[in-house]
Amino acid sequence: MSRPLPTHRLGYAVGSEDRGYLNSAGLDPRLMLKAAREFKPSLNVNTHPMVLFDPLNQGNQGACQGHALAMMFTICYFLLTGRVEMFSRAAAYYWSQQEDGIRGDRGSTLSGGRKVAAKGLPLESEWRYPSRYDPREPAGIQNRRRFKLVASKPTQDIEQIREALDLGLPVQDGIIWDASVSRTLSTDYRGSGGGGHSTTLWTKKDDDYRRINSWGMWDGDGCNENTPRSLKQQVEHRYSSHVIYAPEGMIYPDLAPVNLI
Amino acid sequence: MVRFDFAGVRRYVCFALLVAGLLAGGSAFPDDAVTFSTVIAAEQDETCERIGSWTIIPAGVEFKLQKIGVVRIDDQESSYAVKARKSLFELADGISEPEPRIFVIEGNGKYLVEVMRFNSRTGAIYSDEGVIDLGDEVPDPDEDDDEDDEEDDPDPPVPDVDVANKMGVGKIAYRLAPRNDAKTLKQYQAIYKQAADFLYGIPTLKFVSSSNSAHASDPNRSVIAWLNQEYEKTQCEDEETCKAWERWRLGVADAINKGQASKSYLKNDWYDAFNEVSSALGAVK
Repeated sequence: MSRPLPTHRLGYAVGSEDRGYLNSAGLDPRLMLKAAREFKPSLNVNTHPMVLFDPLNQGNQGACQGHALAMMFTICYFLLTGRVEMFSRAAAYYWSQQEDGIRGDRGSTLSGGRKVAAKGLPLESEWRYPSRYDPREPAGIQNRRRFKLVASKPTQDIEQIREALDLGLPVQDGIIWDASVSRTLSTDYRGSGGGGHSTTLWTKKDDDYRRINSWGMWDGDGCNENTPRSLKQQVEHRYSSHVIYAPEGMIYPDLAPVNLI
Repeated sequence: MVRFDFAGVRRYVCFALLVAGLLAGGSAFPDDAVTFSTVIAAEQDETCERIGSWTIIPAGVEFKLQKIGVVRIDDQESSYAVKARKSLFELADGISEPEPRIFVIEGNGKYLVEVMRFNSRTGAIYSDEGVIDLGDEVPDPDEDDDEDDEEDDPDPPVPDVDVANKMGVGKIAYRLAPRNDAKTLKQYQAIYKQAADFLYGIPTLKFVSSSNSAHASDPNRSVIAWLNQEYEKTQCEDEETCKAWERWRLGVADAINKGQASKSYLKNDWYDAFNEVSSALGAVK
């Protein structure tokens, strides 16, 4: 049974999105999907992701894009190494804003996030997310940008997005957030009358696609579900951007051994 | 808390990234920065040029010789990745980077070596290929490189089974397994198979490690915590058998640790290692 859920702080600066950059940089989704198809074994996507990590919470800042970007790193790092690390949401948000030329707590864009992903992120433990807007960098943090990720060009091809999710790849979205998507189960998306919000799409619950939000224990587990119809409407909406991230090509430091005992 | 050794940085760029970069408008071209060579080398000679633990032998000097391949990347700015293939589906096992931007390839055979470099400042992608021929492949000797295990294994079984050992843990799991406890053996076989499957969400998802220490000790989240929980639950026939299984468990853990020392384990490596243990137990009669 679908019921409405509260809408909290957003932060996807849809009006500032650099679509020219988004469409020119990044990998062809077809090639990303081709590489993912060949990776065996494949992930059982009908599994709940919250065994890996606790839900993120952007709190009172318009840091949704930064949170979704940090989640892309966490998921891709796990897909590649089997390890769970949390990546700096502060760096993801504030550096995205720098790339966007946005000052003040007015959100950020996926294109800004893409540039940050290529230049690198530090760990959450190295630059923790503050409770209030504070973009001041810790000393030496630029030298800690050791983790880098590759993203696709955005796509409005629902088959590509579905295949990415069915293969276990995460997708970062930037959409107009309204009541039609702020539900336990979004069945029909309209995308009108709301602000911009960026979230993570990853894994499924039966045939429905799971959204990992950045509003803490929203809907009890931080996630809601979206029917294939609603996802299609979200992907094809004229103000939406959907970017696939993949572990292939991720740059990361040497891995310390993990003891079995 | 997982701690990383940040003194050395290893970078991996998938071949698909290269191809994708080409199609996305990036350029990939060779330059003079990468050289491929086959050299005769010996370890630990102070008079000769050293690359990590390898020594390059000048002509006329006799040592215990071995052919190795050397790939040098004279590019301080780009990130890079090196792959050595024996075939489309088989990557070389003996490739290492004893010094930054110098790779050593060991092991008989002919290798196609691919070097990919990405300059994040200019956006340029470089690709170089070279062939390194280290001679005809000879069958591996029936090696017994864990001679110390003889001390831990008072009753070595008859090694008459071809046990998979790609991750370096299959043989030890097979050899150390007690032969008088079929019930526990089957349990551990199933446990390790399940441990492998957890990493891919079958039936639920678990991780290898987490920066969240509370999660890392939760068997509902951590495959290693789950393994340790399953060990605690298993009951052996008698005290001697329990001791034998403990020796087995330590031997398996030690083999996996040694494997990580030579090569960082990615998720599919853990999957392969767990399955190798399970298969080895399945081969025990």
